[in-house]
Amino acid sequence: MLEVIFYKSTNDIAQKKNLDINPLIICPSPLIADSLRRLFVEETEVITISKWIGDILKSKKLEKINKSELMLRLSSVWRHYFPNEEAHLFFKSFELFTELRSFSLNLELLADFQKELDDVISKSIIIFWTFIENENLIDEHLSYQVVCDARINRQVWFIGFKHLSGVQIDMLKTLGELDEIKIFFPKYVYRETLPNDWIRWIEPSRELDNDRKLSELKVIHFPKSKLNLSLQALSESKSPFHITIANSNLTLSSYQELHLDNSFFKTARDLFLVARVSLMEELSLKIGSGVLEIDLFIQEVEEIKKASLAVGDYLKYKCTLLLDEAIKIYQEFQSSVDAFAIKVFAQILELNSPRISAVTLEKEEQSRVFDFNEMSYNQSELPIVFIASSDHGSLKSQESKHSDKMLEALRLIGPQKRAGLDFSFLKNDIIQFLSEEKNLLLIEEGLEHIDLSWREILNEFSLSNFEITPNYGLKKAKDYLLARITPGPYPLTSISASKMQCFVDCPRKYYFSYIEKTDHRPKQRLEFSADEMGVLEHEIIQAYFFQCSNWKEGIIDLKRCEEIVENVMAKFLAKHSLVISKKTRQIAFYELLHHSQNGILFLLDFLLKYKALDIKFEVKIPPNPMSIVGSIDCLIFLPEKKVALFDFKRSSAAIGSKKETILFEKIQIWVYLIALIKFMGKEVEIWGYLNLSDIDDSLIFDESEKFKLEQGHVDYFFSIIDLIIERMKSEINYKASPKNANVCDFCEVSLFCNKGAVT
Amino acid sequence: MKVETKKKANKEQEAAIGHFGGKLLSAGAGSGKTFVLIEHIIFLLTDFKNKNDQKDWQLKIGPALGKIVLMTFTKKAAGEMSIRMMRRVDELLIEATALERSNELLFWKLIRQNLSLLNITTIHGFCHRLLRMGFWNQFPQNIELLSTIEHKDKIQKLFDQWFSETSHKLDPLFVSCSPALMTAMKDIFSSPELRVMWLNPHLPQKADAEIDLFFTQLIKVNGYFALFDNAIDLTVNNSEKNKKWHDLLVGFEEIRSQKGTVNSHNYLDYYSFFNTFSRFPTISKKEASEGQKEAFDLIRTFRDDLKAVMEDLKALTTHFNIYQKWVITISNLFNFINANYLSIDGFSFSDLEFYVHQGLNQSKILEKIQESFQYFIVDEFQDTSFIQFEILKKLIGDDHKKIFAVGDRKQAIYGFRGGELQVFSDCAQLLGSENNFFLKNNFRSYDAIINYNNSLFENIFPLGTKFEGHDPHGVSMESQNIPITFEQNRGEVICFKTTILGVESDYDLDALEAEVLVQHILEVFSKEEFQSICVLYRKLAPSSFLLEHMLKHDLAFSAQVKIKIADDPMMNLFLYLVELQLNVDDYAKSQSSKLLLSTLLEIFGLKRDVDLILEQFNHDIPILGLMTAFQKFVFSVGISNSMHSQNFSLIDSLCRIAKENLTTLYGMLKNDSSEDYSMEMMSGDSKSNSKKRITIMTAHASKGLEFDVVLLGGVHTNGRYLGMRDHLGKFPHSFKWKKSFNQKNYFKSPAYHLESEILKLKDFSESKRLLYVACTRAIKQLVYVDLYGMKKGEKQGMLDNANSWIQALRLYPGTIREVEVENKESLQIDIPLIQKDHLGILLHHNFPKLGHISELSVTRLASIANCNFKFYLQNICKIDNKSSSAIFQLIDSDEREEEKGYSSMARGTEIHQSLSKLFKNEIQRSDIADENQSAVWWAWDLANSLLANHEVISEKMIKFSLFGQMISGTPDVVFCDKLNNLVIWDFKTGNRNSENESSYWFQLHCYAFAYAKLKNIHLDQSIEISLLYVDQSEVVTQKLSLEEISQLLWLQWIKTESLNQVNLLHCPYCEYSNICHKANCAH
Repeated sequence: MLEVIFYKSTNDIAQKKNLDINPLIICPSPLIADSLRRLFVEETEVITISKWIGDILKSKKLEKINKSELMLRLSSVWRHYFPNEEAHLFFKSFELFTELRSFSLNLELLADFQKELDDVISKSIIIFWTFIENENLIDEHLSYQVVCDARINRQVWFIGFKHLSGVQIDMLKTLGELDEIKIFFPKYVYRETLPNDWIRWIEPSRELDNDRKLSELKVIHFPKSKLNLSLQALSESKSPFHITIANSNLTLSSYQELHLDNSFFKTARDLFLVARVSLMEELSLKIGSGVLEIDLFIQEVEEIKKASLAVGDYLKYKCTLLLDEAIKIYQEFQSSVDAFAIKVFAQILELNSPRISAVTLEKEEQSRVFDFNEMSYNQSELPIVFIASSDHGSLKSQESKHSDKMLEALRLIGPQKRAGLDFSFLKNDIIQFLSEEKNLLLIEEGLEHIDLSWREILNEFSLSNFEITPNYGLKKAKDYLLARITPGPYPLTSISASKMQCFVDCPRKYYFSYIEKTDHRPKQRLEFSADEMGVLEHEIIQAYFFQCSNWKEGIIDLKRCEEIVENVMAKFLAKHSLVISKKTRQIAFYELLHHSQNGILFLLDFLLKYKALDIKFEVKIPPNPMSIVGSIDCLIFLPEKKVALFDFKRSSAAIGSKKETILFEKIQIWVYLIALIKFMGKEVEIWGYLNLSDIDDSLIFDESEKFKLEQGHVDYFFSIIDLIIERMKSEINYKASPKNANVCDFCEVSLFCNKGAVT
Repeated sequence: MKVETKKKANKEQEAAIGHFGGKLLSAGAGSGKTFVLIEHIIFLLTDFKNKNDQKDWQLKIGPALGKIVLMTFTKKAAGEMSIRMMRRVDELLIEATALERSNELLFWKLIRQNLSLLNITTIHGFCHRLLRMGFWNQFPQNIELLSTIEHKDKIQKLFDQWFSETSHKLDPLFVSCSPALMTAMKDIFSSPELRVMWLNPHLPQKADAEIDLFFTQLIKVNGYFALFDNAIDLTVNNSEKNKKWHDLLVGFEEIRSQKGTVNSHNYLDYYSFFNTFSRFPTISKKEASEGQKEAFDLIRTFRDDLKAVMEDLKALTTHFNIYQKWVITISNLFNFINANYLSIDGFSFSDLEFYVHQGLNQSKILEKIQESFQYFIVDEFQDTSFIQFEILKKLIGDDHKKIFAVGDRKQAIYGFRGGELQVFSDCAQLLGSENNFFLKNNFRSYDAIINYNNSLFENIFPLGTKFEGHDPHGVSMESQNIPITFEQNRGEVICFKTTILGVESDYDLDALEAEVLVQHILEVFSKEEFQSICVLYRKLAPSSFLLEHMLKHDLAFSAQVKIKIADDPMMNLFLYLVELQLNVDDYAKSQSSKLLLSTLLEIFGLKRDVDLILEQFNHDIPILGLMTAFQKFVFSVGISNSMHSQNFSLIDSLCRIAKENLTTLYGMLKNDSSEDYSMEMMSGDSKSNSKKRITIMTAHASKGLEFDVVLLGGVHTNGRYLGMRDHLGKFPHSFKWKKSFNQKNYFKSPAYHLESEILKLKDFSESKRLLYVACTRAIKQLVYVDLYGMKKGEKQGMLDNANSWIQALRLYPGTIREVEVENKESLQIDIPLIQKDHLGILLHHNFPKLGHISELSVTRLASIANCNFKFYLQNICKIDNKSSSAIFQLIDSDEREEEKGYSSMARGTEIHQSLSKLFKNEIQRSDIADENQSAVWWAWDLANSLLANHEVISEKMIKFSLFGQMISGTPDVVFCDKLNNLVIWDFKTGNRNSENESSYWFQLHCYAFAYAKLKNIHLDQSIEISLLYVDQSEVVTQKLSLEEISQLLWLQWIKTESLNQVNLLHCPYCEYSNICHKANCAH
């Protein structure tokens, strides 16, 4: 006899057991099996439906084909009939095929449904159906039919099923003819079922009264992204509690957010994902858009396997082993591998990768963090805090992906899985747990106003606020870097213009750049950095003028220029451990060429226009009483013992504004001018910064502004330098005082610096 | 038919509710639009009820609901709408019950049950649904939605493919600007509108044709029709006849009449004409007619346009073949990516719309979809894009009755997401003027505010940039009505006004404005009548000054802030850890990385040394992968992170894209650090989560909200439009180009000029509508500050931008209140947010542990007693080193957790089975096979001494919780007396090797632990466990208390945290030693 037992709460099920005699309890998953074992006081035989079916098949010496193997075999069949179709269409057909078999094992019954399908998919389903029958393969759905003749000779309880397919219902009905089969179903969920829901195929219409009463529920609202702070406040004010998240598919990071001392959680972790993707991409590259003979493909896999083993990449090694297994079956049907096969293999590997979990290690666990799957049929002595957060996704999934006509065709054959029914189960469970006085709800502010599911659940309660006092406030300002500074003063052995500029910009930036010498940029990078490009551009321009002594003609030798760029770049790359792709190299090459040509063209024009006598690069500042060191990028010797000075920059941002230079906020060029005028005795005619990326954006002071180099002005700046050097020498605390926001842009400690704010 | 609604609809609402579609409803702010939408659906359902027999309801109601689609602009709005709908149906149920209308009760009950079938969704959600329904074979059904970074990677991969196939024939100019090409392609493929524009662009054939096309479009964009289509009225007083402005009009009219509308042949003539004026004249406002002024303004902008484009058009003519090459190359790139787009899995959000738009061209599929969805209600219609409208038009086909569009063109503020005002006008035209309805009443705001907004926006909506001239993209102001007039004029618009001298920068203006705003906030905060206060900004940057003030005054607030990836604490933690790995061989660099890492951890609040955890992280990377190792690190230092859905999902994406290659990751972390996300920063009284909090947000975010007091922030500095800076635009043919590598400056293509112009005009137009949205959020009070900031040393010269909101507000000032504020120079250098706010991070003061396991049996878990790394190979990697043939079997089984113990040798199995059968009385002593007799008899005789007073449990599977994890195992035999004293035996065949016994003992400890828990024995109670070497007749026994056993098991269990460790002593016995890299290295 097949009978539906309605229950209101988990307690009802436990009590039913006391009255009965040792039933066999069949449930859908190991998790529910564990919960049910705990639920029943006496020892009870609880088994999952899959294990139960497996055992019966085993006793009949039969074996069920697993999903991955079936997919692999059917993919070969597909290739035979539809050699030009895309892989995603095969997956679509395969999924539909397995779905349809859950409705009925008789294909004829599905004729109306098939009419709604595209030709290829419809045909493929017939082919798959025929294949599986001809090969006598027992898939999951056929296995339910095969076990129908099994006699159990004891009462069987089916508990925890949220969906049963048409084929499964047929099995229950057949079993029920000789054995006593009871299906447990929550009463309040039944009240929300629709005529085609699975339970109605067994119990079409039962009048069940609604005796659920409005319960009291204590609620805490937390602002979005403040869950951990709220939870902390709650744990400080409340004795230990469990946490449940109303979602069944949480990530490790979702669990980590809910940090409670001495708590246990367990969550699935796909450790093999990257290894799988990497393996399949590697093999895809070998195949490209063509095909590879299976033997060659196996060789490739073998090589990757060996390489993985050699470097101890066991995750990838495992993936190659899984691929080996797949290839063994694949090669029974196919002799070569192409992009289609790669996609199928990728799916197989995903299906077959070991299922790994991350677990918290707590010797004395006080509380647990559950996802919703673990909650069903669990009874807890500790209070449970339910967490509802938009980050955990919606409680309700999307409804069927079939069209009305398809649904109509299926309606007559078997029950359809309905997201609304899944939600009714979930809602029923949540309401049951929240109705317990000791439990409370921690819900994101506003969620019940935008999430229909939560609104529906909360409609069943009268709400009262549970007060906690979380600290959402801002942090107190603190100088985190102060403790990392060893107070000065530090002796200054050499003073370069850039050092001085840095000190002027911000003493703290100076400390970390020149005293602490913070240099954390890895040597191994995918691109040239801006400063490296700058160095290369300097070098190229210098090399060009060194090699092309005919500059007086004023014509650029483009070919030579290209050669120089190539050589300089090659030399640099040989010396450094940059990992540069061909594309990046090409782009960098043309950027260097472009920038240096800009510079060279400008200089050639300049040399011609001013009838220059000579040009020199990297001109060293001679020893001087101020210990200033460094080199001048470019010095051009003009008639009448005058000189022009140019400093190369890659952008206008590096140059700064004219105002900044005039006000001595940008001092680099001034330092060089001092060196030329005071230490080298030169008369400077023209000076400035060349912007190599856009020459028109250069900052050049010509003859008209020569008055800026008058004695008084230079002396004034000289005294400023003196002052700066004195400050550098006597600086003790290196307080942060950035001159402007741009100063902090390229500061290594910018993220941690209080930028001079009062602490 | 009249519908009864709980809240009574007024006349205009009634008309908007009671119809069967084919209507466009313009619904102003606060006009009860949502109420109308819900009631309209109720109206349709009531109509269904009346038109169908009761017996059919059950069958038809589901499909009928499923055919209605209510499209909202955001998921949040869809959620709100669903709840409103549910509540309304609940009300109807209550009404029907109260009035004892059983027929209606049944009907609304059915509706309630089937309500989830009603499609309330965003257009993206709807497109996603269509794709999931599998109508199209060319697209996968299970669409993987890509994050922004993953989509960018997809485009990058396709770009790289194109580059590697074509780079050898590419001009160096293209190569050097390939980063810009890539950026443009990323943008184009992130917008369905742009992608459609690019699908079939014309290829330029002749320079003249290109220039003609440009002028045609320029005329359209800037509204020059008026200039070229009509003659200018040149009538003026004699006194004006010799004035320059009149000469200009006359001269222009002369060319226009002779040469016609500007085109490729005559633009130089126009240009030469303009050049005859050394200075552009000034028109006499007094003497010139309105038409002349309008024409004069247009001539001025036309002249500016012509001047800006002149050199570029000349270059286009001279070097047309080069220009053409640029167009073709860029088009080829687009075509390549477009053609190969589906070869890489995953769709972006915008692809959903694009592919549905394309897919609906297949008539058979369109028919099927049209059959499934038959009525479309579109909310926020003013922000609908062209593509979305195209999709809608296809879905409704010729039947205009199938659409009901609702919106307010004055509130169109999502142009940057593709929202296109033209759609509203097109729809209005499509449906016919008789089907254009209006909701003009404003039930939200008080009289003063409605009046103010009506006047202000009537004034400014028609104005062009700088609030002068004409706005070709402007909307007309449909004034709102005050539904109920009160005796007293309610509400207030306040303008705090002051003049400041010596203002130096934008920062000063924002800082001073904040000072005034906060004074007012302090005033209204304590007043009962003002329960909600909000400060709205166009962009959030100026809000930092206000936040400082609020902190100073300890005002409770909640502020929307943007976090750059570069400032996100978790991203930085990840970056430094990656960096540390890359610097591992460089002492100096790794010390620098450590310094930064330790400072960051200190900001989190961590003061302890994390070297050990760091070391474990290094070891974890090769065996768990970088992402898992990182998450484990985060967990182990005690961090919980409430921003994980932003930062961790990004890190996860990056790891997948880079396949955890450290160098690639480092590059990506550095390159993508400018992306940002929004979050709420809160301060003030921490208990105030139910109390009053001041809200600070962007005007965009405020859409749909209302507040008693609205303060406008950043009004002086917000109108700056930076223009197009990228090398490539987003429109086809929009780029900057060069004829050769050595050319100093780039030329701009005509399309680049056009795009630039369109963006500039739209930005301004939208800025006005954004101001409208902000102003209409106010219920009782609207407040802004007007600072007359004068530059230092200058008599005139307002610092504030000519397009900023303040210029608009000055045109129609509210009630002016003079204030005084002291001028201070402000240097805006913000402390990074990480130092101010928790940013989702909370540090706990323990160092928790995280292990990794698979579903385990005791036997499998026992390998951890031998060697951590062996456990890793055997149970994490599941490498079956003896035989790999069973992998399929093992992996696919759903019953992995219930595996039974196994014996490696058949004989061992036989002896175990024999003993088990003896214990279960299934066989006799004499039934034992000869070769096993001595071993079995020895054990059996030994057991006999216990059998009398002990319960015997043999070979029975037990499942138990080991430190939280359920483990199953099957002990050989367990003896238990009445006092729950336990004796547990494990039989072993072969010779004893005491050095390799640890896993045997571990199993026995597990069983002892399991039975002790089952029997509830005390921690001190001793348990006897023995290994029985049956071939050697040797018994090895341990007597341990439950506490000791727990401790021993714990020491083994925590090894799952450090699976990298190798026990070299076990290597000689380990079946993995041939593949164990670690062991081999150690040896």
